[in-house]
Amino acid sequence: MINEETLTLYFYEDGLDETQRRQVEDALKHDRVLAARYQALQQELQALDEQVLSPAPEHLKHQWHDLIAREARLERQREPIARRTFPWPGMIAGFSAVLALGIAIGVFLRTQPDRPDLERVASSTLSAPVNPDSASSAFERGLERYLSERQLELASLTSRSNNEQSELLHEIVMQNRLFEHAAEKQQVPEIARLMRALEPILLQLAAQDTPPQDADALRRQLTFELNAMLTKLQQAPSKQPQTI
Amino acid sequence: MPSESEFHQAISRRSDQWYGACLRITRSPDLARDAMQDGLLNAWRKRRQFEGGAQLETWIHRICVNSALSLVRASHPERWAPLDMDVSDETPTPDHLLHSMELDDQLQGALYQLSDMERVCFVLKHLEQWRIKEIAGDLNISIGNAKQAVFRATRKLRVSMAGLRSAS
Repeated sequence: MINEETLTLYFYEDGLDETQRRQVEDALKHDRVLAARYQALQQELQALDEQVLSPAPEHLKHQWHDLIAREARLERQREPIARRTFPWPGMIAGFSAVLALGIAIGVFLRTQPDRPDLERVASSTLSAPVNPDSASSAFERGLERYLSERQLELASLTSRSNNEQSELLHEIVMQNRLFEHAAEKQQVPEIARLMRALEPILLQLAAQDTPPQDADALRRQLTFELNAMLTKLQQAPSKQPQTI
Repeated sequence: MPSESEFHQAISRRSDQWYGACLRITRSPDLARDAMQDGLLNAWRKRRQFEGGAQLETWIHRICVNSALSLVRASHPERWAPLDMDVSDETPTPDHLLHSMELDDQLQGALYQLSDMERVCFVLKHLEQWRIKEIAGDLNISIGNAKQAVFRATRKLRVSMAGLRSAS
């Protein structure tokens, strides 16, 4: 006896092995009642395809086009900026300083008669239990601080020249990106989305052809969004990042 | 590697289908919107992995569907535990019922009568043409459970659609 489930899988040509499929085929050939049942099932399942497609709202389509345009623009901007402003002299100086500090510490430790067992200290430090909540709360604290600092910078934005404003805003976009990636790693997609949502406003504000009245409106919107994010971060307990 | 203009063309041509699939999976316009945004962004960032043999639209469609699956599972993780397979019915919330009444698509309305697991398995099998094995793998359930969910969904849908047809 072939049941309804087997007939359904037979219809989908999936989930039955070769032997089971052959059994169904044979039964359909010889059993008229079963064949009629299968025909009804076929018609009913095919009817489930006849549907009206719910079109996506137009404003969402615009957002998706904007999203891709923004990503492409960012990629184009990132490449030359990274090449142009990579601080080689600073990096070399920093590396030399770290190296000198390392040598100095090494010399100091060797000259100390009662130095602690470094291996033991290192291993106890490395094996210290890690609080799983500490990473997410540290991330939230870092984000909160970052947003507060950006808020201050944006408050004094108009005191800078157009070029300085544009550079600062692009820099903020890049830093937002880092927080967005960090949020994705911390599995806080809501924050990642909020960081992404700030980008079109920042980029529009950074565009030097934005009319002054539009720029004012954008700055107000940005301040509002930052305030809202900060308030949510301050209210949300770190153990429930989803509520942000 | 697909260009920016190819992405724009794909959005113009197929975003209704992508959004429709996300909406059927998530049952929520908000989650569908988020799934689309995440999916498109992922597709753009991973576009180097796109192999020219497949169609760009199909590739993005799959990524958006995967985003929708992630979001719907994250929104109600308890409904995706293996034990949930024994639960055949979920009472629709007032929100869901209201939204279902607003839908002009009878199938969309009927999909609201299914549990999350049944609905998603049905959408993936019947409308997205995934293999049962793929569904089981992606949802982290057994093949038997995936078959059962598809079967229960089709049985319920056949009953409700027949009821709707006879009423109209």
